[in-house]
Amino acid sequence: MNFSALSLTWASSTPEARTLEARTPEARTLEPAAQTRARISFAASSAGDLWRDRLPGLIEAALVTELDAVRVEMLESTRVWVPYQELADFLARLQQMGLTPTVLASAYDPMADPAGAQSGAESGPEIDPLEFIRYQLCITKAKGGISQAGGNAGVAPTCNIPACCEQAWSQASAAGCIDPLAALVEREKAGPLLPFAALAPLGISPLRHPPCSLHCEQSIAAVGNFIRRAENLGFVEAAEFLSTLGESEVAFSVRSGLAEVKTKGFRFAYRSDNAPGADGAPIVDRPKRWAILPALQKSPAVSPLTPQFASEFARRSRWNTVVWEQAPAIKRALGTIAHFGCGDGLLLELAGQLKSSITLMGIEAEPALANAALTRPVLSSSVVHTADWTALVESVPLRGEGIDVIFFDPEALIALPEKRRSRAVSLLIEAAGAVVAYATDRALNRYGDIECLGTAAGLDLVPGRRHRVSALLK
Amino acid sequence: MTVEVRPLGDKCNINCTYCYQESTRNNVAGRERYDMEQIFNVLTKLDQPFTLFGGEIMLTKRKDLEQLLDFGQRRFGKVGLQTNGTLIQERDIQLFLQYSVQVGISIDGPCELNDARWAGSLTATRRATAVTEAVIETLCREAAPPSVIVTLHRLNAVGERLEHLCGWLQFLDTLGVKRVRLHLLENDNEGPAKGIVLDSRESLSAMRRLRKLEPNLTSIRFDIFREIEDMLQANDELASCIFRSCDPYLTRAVVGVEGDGRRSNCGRTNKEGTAYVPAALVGFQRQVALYSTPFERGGCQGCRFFLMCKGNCPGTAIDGDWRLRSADCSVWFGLFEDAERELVSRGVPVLSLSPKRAQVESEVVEGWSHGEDRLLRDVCDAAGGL
Repeated sequence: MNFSALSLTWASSTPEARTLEARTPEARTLEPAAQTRARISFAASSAGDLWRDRLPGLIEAALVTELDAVRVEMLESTRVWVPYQELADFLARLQQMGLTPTVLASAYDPMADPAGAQSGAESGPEIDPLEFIRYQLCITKAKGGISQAGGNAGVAPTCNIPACCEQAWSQASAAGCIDPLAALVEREKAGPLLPFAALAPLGISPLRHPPCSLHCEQSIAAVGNFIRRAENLGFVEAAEFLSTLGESEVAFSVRSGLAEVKTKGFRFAYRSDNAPGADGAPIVDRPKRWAILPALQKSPAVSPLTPQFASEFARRSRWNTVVWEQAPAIKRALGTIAHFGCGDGLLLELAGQLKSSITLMGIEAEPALANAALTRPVLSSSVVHTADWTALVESVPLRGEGIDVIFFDPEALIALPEKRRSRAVSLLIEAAGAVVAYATDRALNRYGDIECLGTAAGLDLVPGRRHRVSALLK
Repeated sequence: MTVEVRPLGDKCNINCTYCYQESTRNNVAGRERYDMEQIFNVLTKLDQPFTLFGGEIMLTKRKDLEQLLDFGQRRFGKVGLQTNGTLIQERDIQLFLQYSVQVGISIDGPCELNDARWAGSLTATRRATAVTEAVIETLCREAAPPSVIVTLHRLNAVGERLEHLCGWLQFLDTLGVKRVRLHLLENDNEGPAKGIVLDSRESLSAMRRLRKLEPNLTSIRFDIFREIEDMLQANDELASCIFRSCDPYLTRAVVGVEGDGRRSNCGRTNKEGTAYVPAALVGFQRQVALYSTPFERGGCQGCRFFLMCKGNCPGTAIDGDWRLRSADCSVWFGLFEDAERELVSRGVPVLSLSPKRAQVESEVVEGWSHGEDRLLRDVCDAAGGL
């Protein structure tokens, strides 16, 4: 029997109490407990796992304890909502207990999910529409049935609603209240009965009526009696758990007419009251405090933009990509990383960002750009030669200078006579462990990709991804 | 429905100041192990294309990542991956190309505009951003442009920084990026993020600026503006989750699959450090409640855009309380108003001003009361159109 589908309404002299109030006149009345249980959201934690394991046992304990109270005539009657597919089993069980059901109402429950279709499980066989029907049964002692009150000797008949609670609920209900707990919490904030009252919508609570106060002594006694009766009926573990419920942390709040109950293990929500004040103070915009932000870093005073790139964004992105592609070579460097034709030093800065322990060196023909490079904090103690590197390499031996990586633009070689070009390439290779050719936007527009650029410059490149923007020289 | 596979849960290599996963990440011990068999079992049962997600998915062992990509490609013909891009290397590019992965990258702009995606120090943060920028360019060059998620805040969406962001987006446009998703910063953390949250006026101003930029872009589309227009015309079949009736107890638009095979909700709905397991059944309590709750109480009562907006994402709700409307309400209202005005000027009928709106509202809310979420398109068609 799927007890999660069975539920108990809170006993009350007002039968309509705690039914889900329709928003529109055409909407049907549905019983909330099973629906509320179906929408429990367990915490993804050990507490959630604990509650998930205990819940079926608690539901069974509450149901059987309540039915037994009717059986031994401690309670005149109780009401249970039963889904269609559980009806046969449930009726058989009632018969065994000497109880009689009377159908009070039936309701179509589109929230029922017999095949798990809503939850996204695999689709099963076609669903019988009857499986969406629920029946509200009034359970009473069968006429002529044998009372077994002796089985509960010593337990006072406290199943009736205390007069104080009956009166309080009648008044609240007459005033249009549908959620007893909302008004109580609004008034009293906390009390020993709060956990029991908050969990009542799940149909597992030993508190079987809406109390007049979260401190109502008679209600507290009723809770104790219910737990003892559950224990006497054999639900020892459930009774033990329920007896600790009073100490558990339960948060209850109402907003937008929705009550939400949260424990460490789960949360659930149900339709509550929309009374003014029930859902907290009006919402006001809170003033915010701002962090003071520095101005955007500007490029050095001299515009670094050259015809090589379409924009500053393009230039930065390209240098980022070159550094990323050549990250292994940069990370292996122990001495110096150089950029021949370094412009304002951005590529060197980005390489230095990747490996802060290396020395950076630049060669740049434009004095203004070379000076601008030195204004970058990471290059402030570096060497930036103001020279045409294609001439410099011929006149200044760089071999043995501890240069690990050289970055350069092959386009600078294309304009050179072939002999000079070959000589420059040889000197580059002699000077550094890794020589990296890169492609600017202009170069890619002219030559298509780095392979063609390399060919045009007479370079022998290490093979790689066709659309890369940098390549090592062999 | 988007299936998000999260082998490592919220585990991440950086520490974005505004991360909505921060509270659950702090409360749940970092997951090192995951069960591939369990993950595949659940994916087989769900039988839906999926996206690899996190935390940071690129922390996953490469051989396992490849297995997941291979499975997705073979079974569904496509597979997605959402990443911060900071851990991607050349070999990963090859992987993405091999399995035609639809890569999504989260970055808030170039260089200092992305500083809120903090990597421990300024140097490390800039280094990480540089990698992400390189990856974007590389994927574009490989004719596999990633989609980009940009979260708007004070580091990238006010004053000269906003203009810088626009310039950068124009550059991405030239690279061939097609899709950019704009997010308003969801501030769940009472820490550093507090100082960079935009106020409503700034958020609206930034969104309007970007909306104005879009016609000048040949490739990039900010899907949010198209969706707003579609919602106004009751074309909601392909609407993203924020305009659908999200149930924070069971987020249908996002189904998470965790490393142990357990299902999870969209992480944006996790507040106060608690991740909740999806409920067994979906419900629309939030939408029904917002419809009837006065504006001053955090509801949407009387709003002509309610059917289109529905209180927006519960993860962005006022006070982090899903029962209230989005804290960004005035931004959405402004954007809906802008789009409404433009559509009306073009003679396009809109649901917000339709004489049938009340009728459509009544039917949609009725459906929600019974656990049914009807498409606006279907309801409007049944009512004879707008």
